[in-house]
Amino acid sequence: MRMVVLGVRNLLRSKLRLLVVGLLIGFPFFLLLAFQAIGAAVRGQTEVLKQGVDTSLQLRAKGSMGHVNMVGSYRLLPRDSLEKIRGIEHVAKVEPYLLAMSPTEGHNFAMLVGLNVGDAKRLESHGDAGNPRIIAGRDFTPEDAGKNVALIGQAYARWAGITPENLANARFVVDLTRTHAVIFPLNRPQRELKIIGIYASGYVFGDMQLFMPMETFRGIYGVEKGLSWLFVTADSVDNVAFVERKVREALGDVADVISPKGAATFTSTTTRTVDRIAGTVSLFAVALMAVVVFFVMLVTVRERAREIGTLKAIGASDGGIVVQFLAEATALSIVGGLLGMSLFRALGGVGAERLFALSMSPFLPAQYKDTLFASLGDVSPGIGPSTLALVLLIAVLVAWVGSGYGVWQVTRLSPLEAMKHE
Amino acid sequence: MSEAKAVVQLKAAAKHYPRGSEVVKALDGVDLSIDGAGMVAIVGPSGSGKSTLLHLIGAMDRPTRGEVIVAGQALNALPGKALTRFRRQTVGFVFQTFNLIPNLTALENVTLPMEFNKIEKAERDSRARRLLDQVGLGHRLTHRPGELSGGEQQRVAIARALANNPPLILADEPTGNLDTESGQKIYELLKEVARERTVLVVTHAEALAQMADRVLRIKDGRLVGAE
Repeated sequence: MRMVVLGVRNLLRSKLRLLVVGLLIGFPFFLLLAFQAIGAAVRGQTEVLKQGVDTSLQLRAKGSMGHVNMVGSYRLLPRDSLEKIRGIEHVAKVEPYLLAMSPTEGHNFAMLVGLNVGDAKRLESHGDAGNPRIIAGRDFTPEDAGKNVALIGQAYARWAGITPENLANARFVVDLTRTHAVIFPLNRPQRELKIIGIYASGYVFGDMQLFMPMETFRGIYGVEKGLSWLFVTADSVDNVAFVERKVREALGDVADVISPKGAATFTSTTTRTVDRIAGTVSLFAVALMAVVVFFVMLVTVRERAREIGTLKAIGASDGGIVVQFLAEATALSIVGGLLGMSLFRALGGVGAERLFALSMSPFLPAQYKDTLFASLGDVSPGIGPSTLALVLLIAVLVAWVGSGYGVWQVTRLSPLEAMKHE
Repeated sequence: MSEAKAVVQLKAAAKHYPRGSEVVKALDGVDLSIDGAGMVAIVGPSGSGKSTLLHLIGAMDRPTRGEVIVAGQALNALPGKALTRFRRQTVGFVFQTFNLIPNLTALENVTLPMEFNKIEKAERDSRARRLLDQVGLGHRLTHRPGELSGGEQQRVAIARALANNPPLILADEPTGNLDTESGQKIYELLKEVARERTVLVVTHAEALAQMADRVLRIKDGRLVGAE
């Protein structure tokens, strides 16, 4: 016990030495904590960002736009595609659509869309956008399934003479015999739909659509099987690539799969970059800490070889000397660790921002950089006690190895050799 | 003199060091017997082997060949732990550079060998105070080595060497780092210590050596005379 006390007391031999050694050990500690904090803060923020990244794959029949009446491009996805895809792991949602084109005078054509009434109202020319705002009337309800009802875009409504004021009695006649250079006619009876609402998407082509329940569409166009589009949503941005691969395996060569560029960019750059850099630098910091602690301890022991020789000469056992130096190493690495933590508490925010700017920022896509940077503001409290304990434990273990190795080298010598060892 | 009663006995003791392709014979077949209390000075020029002789007697180093027997213990045959016990109980060392532990007080430096010898705290403290009082440092108990003069540090070192009441004190150039007056006082102190035990002192100083009860002269690793 006395040797432990002696070891701990050795810390106070020189306050300057204690400060220098403490800082040497503390700096990599600080670096490690800072990068752990950066990683944690940025990971937290990327989780938020992920929710805004489109994770939907769009499927169409191979080589086709998928419209039921488009000249030269009317092949559909087989109806069993839906069941095959629903069984794939990490698929959160599957939304089927049927599409047809209808000519207009003012514009080239409008788009008629059949969908399950709870699904996103996707805009044909901007397939990744959905659910435009209802500006008059109401949205679909589950009771609308299979009924002759429709939601119409404000531009198409204007063309059809439908306004919010006359919406209560608005009707829209679907006439399949009308043609266009790219639309072929279908010899099917007209169907009158009650317009229940008008939507606005913010751009003209988006507002030239008419949404109706899926079974209503099938009845009008006589499409008993097949689908124009399938939108498959992965449960997270990290699983988009996996789902895409499984979809291709499940459907084989019958479908084109269009994956979201945003998800790919986010996954391949932001998330992976943050993980890789934070992980790499943390490992580097741990390695640096290990090397620094090891050599500081080794030097600390070696510069005191004469003292070890003296202790042996006055009757100290080798075991007692080892205990003394291990106690000193433990205390020193704890002091260094506490110093590193204090530095981190004091300068963690500023330091993390600087380190982020130097290390991660250049590798991140510009659209995410500022948001992630802003998330570093509350970096300080992000380190859990278990992480700190683990890092401290690593420092102590490395200190033991460095100190133990140095002491072993000296204690195995005779007292005289030990005194001359320096 | 009876060999059985000898405190120190060397039989053809030699210590050789390799230096490059050469072998340095620091000590080359020394036969020696020292018994009873008293002060024995070992004198000789630099590099003659006098410190090596002291180190072999104090189990600070092992001989290349020959026998070293101290207080009835054949050091060559002792394993590591027994050598540690020997250094703890049988000899007390006084170094030229004092070799005190810098962050311990004078009192703590003196109690340290007793702690290694597992002596109770109360006994340690009282004995250390008495020893420091004997060497004239009763008023400097709580001073650290850095706060003491060279002569005072060496007196603490002598008190430390006496802590476990060993039969043999080994002093290697104990006045080498001191001025003449302080050196004289240290010699007088060692002379006093030598009333009750054997004190072996290595020195360059011929005048101080003359204060010893016996003078051994050594040259080129061999004993060349005894007075």
